[in-house]
Amino acid sequence: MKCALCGFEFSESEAKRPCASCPLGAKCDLVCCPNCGYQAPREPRWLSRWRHRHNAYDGTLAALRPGIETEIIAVRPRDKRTLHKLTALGLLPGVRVRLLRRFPCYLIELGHTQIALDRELASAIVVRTHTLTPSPSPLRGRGEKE
Amino acid sequence: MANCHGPGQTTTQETATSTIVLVGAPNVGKSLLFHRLTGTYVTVSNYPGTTVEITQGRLDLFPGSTLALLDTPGLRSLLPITEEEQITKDILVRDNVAVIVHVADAKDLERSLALTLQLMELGPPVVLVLNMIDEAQKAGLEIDRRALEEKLKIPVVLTSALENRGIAELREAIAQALQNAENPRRTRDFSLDEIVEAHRRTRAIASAVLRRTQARTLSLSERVSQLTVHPVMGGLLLVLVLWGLYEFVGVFGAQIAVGFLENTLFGEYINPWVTQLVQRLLPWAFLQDLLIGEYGVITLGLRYAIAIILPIVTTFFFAFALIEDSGYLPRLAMLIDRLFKVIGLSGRAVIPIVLGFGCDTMATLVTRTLETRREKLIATFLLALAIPCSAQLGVILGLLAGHSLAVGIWAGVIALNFLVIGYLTAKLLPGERSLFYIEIPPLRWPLLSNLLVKTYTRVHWYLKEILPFFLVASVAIWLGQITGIFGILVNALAVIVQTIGLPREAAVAFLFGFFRRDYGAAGLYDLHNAGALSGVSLVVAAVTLTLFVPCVAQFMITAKERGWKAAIAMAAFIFPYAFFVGWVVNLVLTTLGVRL
Ligand SMILES: Nc1nc2c(ncn2[C@@H]2O[C@H](COP(=O)(O)OP(=O)(O)O)[C@@H](O)[C@H]2O)c(=O)[nH]1
Ligand SMILES: [Zn+2]
Repeated sequence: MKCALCGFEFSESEAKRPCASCPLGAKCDLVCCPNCGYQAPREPRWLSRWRHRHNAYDGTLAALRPGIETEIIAVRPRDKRTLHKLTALGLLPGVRVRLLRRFPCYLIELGHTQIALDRELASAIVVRTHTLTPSPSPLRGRGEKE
Repeated sequence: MANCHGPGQTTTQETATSTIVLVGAPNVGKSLLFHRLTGTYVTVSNYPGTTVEITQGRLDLFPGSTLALLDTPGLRSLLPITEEEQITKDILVRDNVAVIVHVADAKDLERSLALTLQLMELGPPVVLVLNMIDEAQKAGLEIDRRALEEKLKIPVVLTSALENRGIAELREAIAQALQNAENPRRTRDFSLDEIVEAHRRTRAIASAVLRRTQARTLSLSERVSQLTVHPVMGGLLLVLVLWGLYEFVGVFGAQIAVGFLENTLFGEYINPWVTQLVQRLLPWAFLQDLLIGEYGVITLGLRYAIAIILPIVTTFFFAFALIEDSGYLPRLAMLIDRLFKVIGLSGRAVIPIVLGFGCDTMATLVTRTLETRREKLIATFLLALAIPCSAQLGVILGLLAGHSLAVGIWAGVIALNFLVIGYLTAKLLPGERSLFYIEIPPLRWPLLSNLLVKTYTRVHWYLKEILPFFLVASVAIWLGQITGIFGILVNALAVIVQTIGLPREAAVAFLFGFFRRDYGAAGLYDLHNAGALSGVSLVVAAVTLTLFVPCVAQFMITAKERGWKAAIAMAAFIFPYAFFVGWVVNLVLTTLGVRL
């Protein structure tokens, strides 16, 4: 989802991190933007499913339907090393990839090459099927200050 | 494989001669191209992490030229991540580098060009080679070489190392580049942003020079490729591959070929002939014993090596080369990643694990390519515990071959141990979970010549390594017998061996197992032939021997790679544990009254 305040793109799973210290924990229905901390209600399931079906999808590669071609808009793995690895493989913002399968591993095609990724790496790649506006600084290891 | 490249290979030293360096991503055909340019053979294979060592050869461009050609480990960007990439980067900024030859996959132009741009900033002239042009053409890609040269302002050569096309042009381009003025060297570090920027530029260049002459269609190999990664079909295919491996190595190698060499060659010709000869020439009984006795150098050492081990490792190495060269291993890694995550490994670990079925010592070396220290430790440990090497596997399968239930019980117990101990180790060992990513190369028909050369090189390496060992072991046992030490050790082991329901004589096989896994298993083979093992004790012996301590060589490598503390801790766990499992299996089978 996209932060209503700063426009940062993130997936729900990464938004959980800042909530870990909150006493409400998992019961809370609000999601925090990992970039600015602004809170917003979770997007209802049916809505995200509907958007997904109509291809107006942005989220991580891990949640994408197989067969769809998308554009990478951000790469946000757990540390800088992993970020280097993914970029070296050619997984960079602006690159078009197609998800071929999700099980037993995420398999993506990029040009004439295929790359297998596990779930954690697939959730680090944010994609969009409709190109809207480029987000400000999409390439950044998580937890690093700019 | 880290240590079994063929002869004719030298590791690099800091030499003063001008050097031409081949760089590029893994699997773009650098090694094959190197071979085409120099005529020296180097192991060519299909999975990332192959070219661990730097290979050097001589390049004769024109009469009187003394140029060195270097083949380097795969490199994707000048922002090195792995140790190997760092090595490559260090080589690139040496003073004696005259020309950098960037080898790229022609199908993958867009992704490769970013590295070209980075290399061009280093100083030495760069030649871009777009290899695998045959595959690109088949896929309907057309590359405007001239336009690309103009945009990059460096020579571009299209080659197919496989079909030997474009090699002359490449030589020409390198010779031309050598004439170029000496550029100043710039050692420079690239930031991530610069690399992203380079990729942005290359996208524009690539779209300007690439043309698709036909719509993308799925080739046969791509269709098969889809099957190999399908969870159900891929699983079935894996079973098929394993079955083929068993038929080829376990039945053809370990039974038919071993049977012929053992019984016919040694049994009917060599042994009687040598026995006669020795008895005639050497009248002293104790010397006769050394050569032709029960544990004689010829009757035991040489026979084990040539008649039992050789056919098994030859068939295994051939089968492994086939699997490796076809590009199946990365697919296997992908299929198995989820399962391996449970035991603290990632899919990438299938490469050392599968290799372990060839030689655990070699595989222990290859665990280096794994990402985290935790993963390396777990993989090393599981290799030491639950992965039988090809020779051992072949002999054990040969032993159990008649009884499919016995094979099933043995395989089940070993697999269960692999998973349970792996799971527990993963729980106990702290550390980061490993991430998994791997490139899936296209499925390719392996070249028969390549397979044969590879098999030969590895068998040659293996025999060179084990033959002296077997002979020395025979001598050591002979000495042990004369001095009585052998008897004491056997008696001590016999007590343990008998508690798990095996005959005393099996102690000898276990003692051999300390020297080498395969040596021990071969000892079991003899015992079986003598009719000393019943069905149940055969399974118990096979299970215990499989889990039993790693051989001396593997132990040494484990100590070298993971440290003495880790190696000793592993051995201290495995030794009693193997006998414990053997005891449990024996107890369960006899209590249930299983007849095998
Ligand atoms: N079709 C085709 N296959 C090639 C060509 N060059 C190399 N190969 C194959 O690609 C695989 C990887 O080659 P290798 O030399 O090991 O790549 P390296 O990792 O860059 O050294 C091998 O199976 C080669 O036989 C080529 O020009 N065309
Ligand atoms: Zn925000």
